[in-house]
Amino acid sequence: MRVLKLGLVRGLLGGIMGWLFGFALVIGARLALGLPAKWNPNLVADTSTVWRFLATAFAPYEPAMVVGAIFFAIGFMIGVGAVTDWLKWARGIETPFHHGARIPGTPEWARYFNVDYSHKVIGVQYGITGILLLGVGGTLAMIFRLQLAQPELNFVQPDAFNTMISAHGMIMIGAILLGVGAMSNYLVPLMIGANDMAFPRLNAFAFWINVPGALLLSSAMFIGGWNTGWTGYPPLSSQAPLGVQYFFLGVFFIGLSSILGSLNVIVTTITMRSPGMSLFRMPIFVWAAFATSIIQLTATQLIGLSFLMVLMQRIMGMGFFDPGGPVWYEVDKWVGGGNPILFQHLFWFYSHPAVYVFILPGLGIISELLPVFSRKPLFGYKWVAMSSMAIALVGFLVWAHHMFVSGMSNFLRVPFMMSTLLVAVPTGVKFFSWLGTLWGGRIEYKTPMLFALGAISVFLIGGLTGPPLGTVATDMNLTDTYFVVGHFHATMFGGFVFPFFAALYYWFPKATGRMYNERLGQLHFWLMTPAFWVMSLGQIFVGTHGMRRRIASYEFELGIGDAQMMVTIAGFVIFTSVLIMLANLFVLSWRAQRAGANPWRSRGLEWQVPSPMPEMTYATTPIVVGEPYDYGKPGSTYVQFAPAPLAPALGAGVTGGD
Amino acid sequence: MTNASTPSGAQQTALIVSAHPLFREGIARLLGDQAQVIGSVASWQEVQGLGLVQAPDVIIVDHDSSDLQEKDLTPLLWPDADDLRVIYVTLSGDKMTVHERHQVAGAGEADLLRALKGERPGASARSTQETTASQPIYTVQPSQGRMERMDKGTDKPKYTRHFIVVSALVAVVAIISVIGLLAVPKFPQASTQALVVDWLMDLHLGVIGILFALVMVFMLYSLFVFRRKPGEEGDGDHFEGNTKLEITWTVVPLITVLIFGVIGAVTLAEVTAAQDDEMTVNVTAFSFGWQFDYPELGIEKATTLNLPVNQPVLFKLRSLDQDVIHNFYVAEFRVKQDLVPGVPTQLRVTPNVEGAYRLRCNELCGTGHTNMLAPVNVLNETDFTAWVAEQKAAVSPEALAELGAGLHASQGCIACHNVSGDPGGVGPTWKGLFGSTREFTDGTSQVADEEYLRNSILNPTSEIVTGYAPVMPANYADVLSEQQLDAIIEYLKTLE
Repeated sequence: MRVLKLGLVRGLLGGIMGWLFGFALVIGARLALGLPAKWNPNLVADTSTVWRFLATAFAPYEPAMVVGAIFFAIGFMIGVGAVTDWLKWARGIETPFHHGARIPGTPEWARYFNVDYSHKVIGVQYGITGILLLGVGGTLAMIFRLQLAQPELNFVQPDAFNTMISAHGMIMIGAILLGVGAMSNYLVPLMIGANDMAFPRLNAFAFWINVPGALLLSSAMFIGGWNTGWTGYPPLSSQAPLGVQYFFLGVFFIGLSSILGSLNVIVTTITMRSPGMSLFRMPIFVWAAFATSIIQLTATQLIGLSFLMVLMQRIMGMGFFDPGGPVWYEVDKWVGGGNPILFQHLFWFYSHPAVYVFILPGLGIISELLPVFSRKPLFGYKWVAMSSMAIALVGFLVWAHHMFVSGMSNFLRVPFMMSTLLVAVPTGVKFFSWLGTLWGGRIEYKTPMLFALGAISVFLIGGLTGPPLGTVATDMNLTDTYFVVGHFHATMFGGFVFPFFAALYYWFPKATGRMYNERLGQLHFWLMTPAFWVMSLGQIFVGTHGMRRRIASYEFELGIGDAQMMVTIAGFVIFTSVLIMLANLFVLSWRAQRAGANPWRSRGLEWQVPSPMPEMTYATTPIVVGEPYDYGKPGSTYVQFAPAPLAPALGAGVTGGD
Repeated sequence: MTNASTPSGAQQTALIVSAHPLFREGIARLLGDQAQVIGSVASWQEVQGLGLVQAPDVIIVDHDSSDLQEKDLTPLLWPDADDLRVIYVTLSGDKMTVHERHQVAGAGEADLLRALKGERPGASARSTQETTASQPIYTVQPSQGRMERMDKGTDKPKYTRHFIVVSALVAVVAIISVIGLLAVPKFPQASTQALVVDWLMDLHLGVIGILFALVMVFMLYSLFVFRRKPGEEGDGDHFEGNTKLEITWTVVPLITVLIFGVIGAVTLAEVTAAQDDEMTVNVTAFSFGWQFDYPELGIEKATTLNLPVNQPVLFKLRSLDQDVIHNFYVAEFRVKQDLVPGVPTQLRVTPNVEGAYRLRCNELCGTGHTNMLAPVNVLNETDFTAWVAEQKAAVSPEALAELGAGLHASQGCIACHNVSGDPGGVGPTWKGLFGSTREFTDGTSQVADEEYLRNSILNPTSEIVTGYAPVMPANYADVLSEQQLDAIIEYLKTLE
C-alpha cells in the first residue's frame, strides 16, 4: 500500500474512522440511555434526489454529527502524523530533529502530502491549500454573480443562493488566512536569516489542522447548507439547517491554526533574528507579519468561542443568544435568557481585527516590493513599521462599528465612530510613504511591481469608501447594502489578493529556481486591474441605488441591471485572469528558463543564497551590517555571511524542540 | 606572496586581499608611503594563515570578487577590533571606485560615524571621487557627508519643477473628481433625515475626490516620470524619509478625522432627534413579512405602511420572539435599523415627499429574505385621513368578530369546535376558551391568550389539551389570511 505512505491519505482514513467513532459514540449513548437514535424524530430524509437526500438525511442526528466532526479532526491529525512526535515524547521516546523528507526513500513531491517540518514545505502547503480554497470560493461567486447579472433571475433557489454566498464568504476568508500563513511561514524565517520557525512541529500541526477545517467547511454545503452569511448571527444560525454546525467547526479549526501559527511567528521573530538585525533592521514584511500575529494570537479565540456557543445552543439548549421563546426544533420547549446582540459583540471583536489580519501582510508585501523595483529606500521605514502596529492596536477598538444599526446601546455609536475614523491615520501614513518611496526612483515594471502598484490603487478604493461607513449617519444608509460589498472587496483585493499575487510572482523564482513568463504575468495584470476597478465601482454604485447585500435577486424598478451586468462581466474577467496566472506559475514555468539567485537585485537575505534554496537556507550565519532598503547608496551592504566552522557560538538558528 | 613585517607605531598598517596578483600589486604601489602593507594575500584562508594577532588598521578588499565579500571573516578574526576598517575597491575599465565599510557585526550607524571621525589618514578626504587608474588617489567614500544630506530629505532644487507640475495636476484632477462624484445621480430622497445623510455623504465625496486625486496623481506621475528608461542601470535617489513630512501627514489626517468625528456626532444627533407631535407606528417583523400598528389611530396589523407627508414618525420596531433579526430600510428614507428578537429598537423618519416606496428587509433572515418587502406610501393629509377611516372601518373588533363567526361556519371549524359549551366535541369548545387556563398532555398549562390561539390554529399539534387527540390539520397557515386569523381570534373573544 504505497498510497498509505502519503500522510494526506492516512489523515483522511483516520478522519473517517474518527467521524464514525464520534457518530457511534453519541448514538450508542442515546440508545444506552433508552433514547431514540434520532435526536429530532420529526425530521425525515427526502429521497427524491441525491442532493436532497444528503441535505436532509443527517439532520435528525445533529449531536452525533457534531461529535463525529470533532473526532474527524482528531482522527485526521493522528492519521496524518501531526502529533506523532508529541505522542512519543509523552512516552519518553526521543525524536531527533532532522530536516529533509520525514520518511526516507520517498520522492520530493511526497513531502508536500506528508507532515514535514521544513518551514518552506509548510509555507508551500499553506499556499497551495489557500489557492485551492480561493478557487472554490471564486467558483461559487461566479455562479451567484450570474444570477445577479440581471434583475429577477431565479435559477438559483433562495436556500441554495444563501448557502453559496455564505460559503463564498467563509471559504474566501479561510483562503486568505491560509495565504497569510503561506507568506508568514515561508518568508519570515528567510527574511530574518533563520533556517526554520521556532517550533517546527507546532508549525506542521498548525498547517494540517486547516485541512479538516477546510473539509468540514466545504462539506457544510452538502449536508443542508446554511443561510446565515459568513457572520452566522443567531437567532438565524440557531435555526439554520445542519450545515451551519460544520461551518462553525470548520471555522473553529481554521481559527485554531491561526492562533498556533501566530504564536510561532511571534516567537520566531523575537528570538531567531540574525546577529545584527535589530528590530528596525527587519524587512518591513516581518513587521507586518508580527503585527498580524499579535491580532491573531489575541482575538481569534473570540470567533471560535462565539461560534461554539451557538453550536452548543443548538444541540444542548443553552440559551446564550436566545432572548426567550420556543427553540426551533421543539416548539414546546422554552429556553432563553440570552441576548442576540451579545453574539455580535463577541463575533466582531475578532472579525473586525481579522480584516487587519487579512490586509496587514499584504500591505507589508507592497512596502517590501516598492523599494526593490524603485531602487530606493523605503520612505519613512520606522513610520511604516509603526503604522502596522498602530493599525493592529486601533483595530481592537473599533469592532462595534459593524453594529451601528444593530440595536446595541445608542451611546456606544459615537465613541466607536471616533475610533473607527482614527484607523484612517496610520493607513494614510502607509499610502504617503509608498508615494515617497516611488518619488525619484528608477521604477521598473515587472509583474510583481505591477501587482503591488495595482494593489495600491485598489486599496485606495477600499480606503476611501471606509469613512462614509465610519460616520454613523451615512452608515445608517449604506450598511448592509452592496456599498459594503464594494468596500470590503476593494480592501480584500487591495490588501490581500493583489499583494498575494505580487508575492507569488516575486518569490516564485526564489522558491522554484524558474522564472515565470513575464508576458503572461503582464497580461494577467492588465486584465485583472481594470476589471477590478469596474467591478468595485459597479458594486459601490448599485449599493447606493437600492441594492441590498445578500439578496438572491432584485427588482426591475431599481434600474441597476446594466451596472450589475458590468459587475458580473468584470468578475468573470478577474476569474479568467487568475486562471492565466495559475497556468503561468504551475503549468508553463516548469519548462521556463532558470532564474538566477537574485533576478530582482534585491538586498534581502534570501536573495543572497541560490535558487531554489537549499534545505538549510543559511549554511553560514548571515550577519546584518546595514539597513535593509539602502538602494542607491554606494557600498552599503545589508548582510554578510560568516563561514560556519568559525561561528559555533552564533549558531544558525536551528532548533529542535517545540 | 607573503611579505609581512612589523607594523611601526606611526604608520598605518594595511592588508590587501584579492585573487588577482595585479590588483594587489597595483594597490600596494598606490599606497606608497601612506601605509605599510603587512600582508597581500589571495583569500581569507590565507589571512587566517598569516596568524596576525593584532588587526591591521585597514583592510583593502577586491570588491569585484563576490566570494571575498560573502565570506568576509574580519568579524571573527578580530572580534574586539571595533574600529577596524575594510575598504572595498572596484576596478572596472579605467575607472576605480572606492567604498569604505566599517566591518563589525552588529555595528550601527553611530559606530560608523565615530570611526570615520577619527584622525586617520584617508578618512579626512570627504569627496566622492572616481579617478582613472593612471592617476590613483587613495580616497574614501564620503559617507558622512551624504548622510547629512539624506536627513534633509529630497534634493530640493531637482524636484521643485516636479512638485509644481504635480501639484497643479492634483488640483485639476481633484476638481474634476469632486465634480464627477457629486454629479453621479442620487437615489431619490424622501425624508428630512435623507437630507442630512446625503449632505454628509457629499462632504465625504468631496474629501474622497481630493484624496483620490492626491494619491493617484502622485503615483501615476511618479510611475511615468521616474520610470526606468531603456538601458538605465542605476538606482534611484537615496533618501530614507523625512520626519517633518511624516508628522505632517499624520497630524493633518488626524485633525481631519477628528473634525469628521464631530460632524458625524452632530449629524447622528440630527438624524435621530425626537420631534414634537410624533406619530408612533409599531412595526413587527416576522419571517418573512411586515405588520404595522398605529396605536394612536387605532389601526392594527396593516400590511401597507402608509404615512402622512411631513409628519414626524417614531417607528417602534420589534421582531417576534421566536423569529430572527430583520432590518427596517426604505432606501428613499436613507436610514435603517435592525429588529431584534427580545430587544426593542426604534427609528425616526419624517417623510417629506409624497410617493410610493418600498420597505425592504436589509438583514439576511433566511429563505424569504429577498422578498421580504412591504409597500410604503407617503400620502397627503386628505388621502391619509381617508385611508385611516377605511382601515378603522375594516378592523373594528365588532366587524372582525362578525367576520370570524362567518369563518367558523364556512371554514369547517364548526365540525369539531362547537360554540355551545358542550365539552364532548372532537375538539375543545370555543365557548369560554379565550382567557381560560389550558391543561396540556405533557403536564404544562397556559392561559389562552391571542398568541396561544394563533399558535394553536397554525401549529395545532404543538400543544395538545388533555382529553383530545392531535387530529387537527396543520394547514391553516395556508388556508387563512392574516386578517381572517385575526377575525377568528376576535370572534373567540366574544364567546364568553
